[in-house]
Amino acid sequence: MLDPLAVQHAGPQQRAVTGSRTETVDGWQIVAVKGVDTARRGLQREFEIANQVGAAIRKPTILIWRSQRALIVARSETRSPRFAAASARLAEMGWPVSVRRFGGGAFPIGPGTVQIAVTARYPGLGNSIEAIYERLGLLIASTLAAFGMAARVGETPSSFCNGRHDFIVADRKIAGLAQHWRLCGDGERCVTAVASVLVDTEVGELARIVDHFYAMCGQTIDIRAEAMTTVRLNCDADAPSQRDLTAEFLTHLAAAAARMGLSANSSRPTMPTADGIRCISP
Amino acid sequence: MPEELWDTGKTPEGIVGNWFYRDGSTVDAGAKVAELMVEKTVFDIEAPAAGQLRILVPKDGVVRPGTLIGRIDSA
Repeated sequence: MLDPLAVQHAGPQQRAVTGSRTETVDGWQIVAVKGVDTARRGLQREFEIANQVGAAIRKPTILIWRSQRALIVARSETRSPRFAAASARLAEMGWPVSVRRFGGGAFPIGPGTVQIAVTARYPGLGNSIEAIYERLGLLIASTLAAFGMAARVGETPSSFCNGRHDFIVADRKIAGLAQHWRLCGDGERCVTAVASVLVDTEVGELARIVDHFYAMCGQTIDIRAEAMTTVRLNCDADAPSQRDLTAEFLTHLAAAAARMGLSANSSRPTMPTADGIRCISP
Repeated sequence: MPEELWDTGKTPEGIVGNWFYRDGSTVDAGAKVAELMVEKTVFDIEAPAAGQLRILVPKDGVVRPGTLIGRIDSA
């Protein structure tokens, strides 16, 4: 099934170069998309997996993917009378706009950000919004801990797509989380929890593109680069520029997913803590 | 809407993000009629039965777990 919302504002100029690797661990499928997808294909993949999990023809799934540059917006933001013109202009600038069925505001993605989508039939991930955020958060925290980073959960004013369950390192946002609770068609619900993690990207450019989008939509939203951070920025002293932190992050993330499991009844790891931020060399 | 959907101690309230049918529309059982928005979460609301939709909380109206946001009258 095609999700028209996921594709209608995506630019036509991007081509995906991907494959995927799937493994099953503790009743969960972990699908790691290789290479860099387009945002429209990545969101479409999330949508199709949710359909399959919801229809009970697929196991609960953790999808890990990356995208070429794109701006992701919530459906509520398409109501601006200037949205069509703004999204067309951004596509011309190399930032095609895609719409997703989650809450939150606009946020940019690209090869240096990692997208995680965890989907299970209710209550496989947890029985409340907070419980599900916590489970996805543990996966992210465990991955960041592999780099020696201590993360906390909370809001970061002036970050894009700000929310109370976002992840913060050194008082700056490093990952945003959102959820969609949908109907399965058999009276049950299927929940997808997603995260976008800033790994190795230039936050100034990301802030500018979101600010530009809102300005073109006639909205004044204070977005500041200094409200965001990346894995790279927190590893700067120890990470030479040629070090592929995104590849390392993907490796640590897949390992954490395989190690932890995400079922609500699985053993619950505790939130990792550290008293400082440092980058562990491979 | 479910009474345990979120912890009101942490998140006091959400809003009705959208209605997909107008007040008074005839809807089928199971049709997605609305979505709630709370903490960057979208929660789909389906019609529990076929009939005529009566909207009790308008779009952007504030809701808490257990809030009755609409009613389906027999057609």
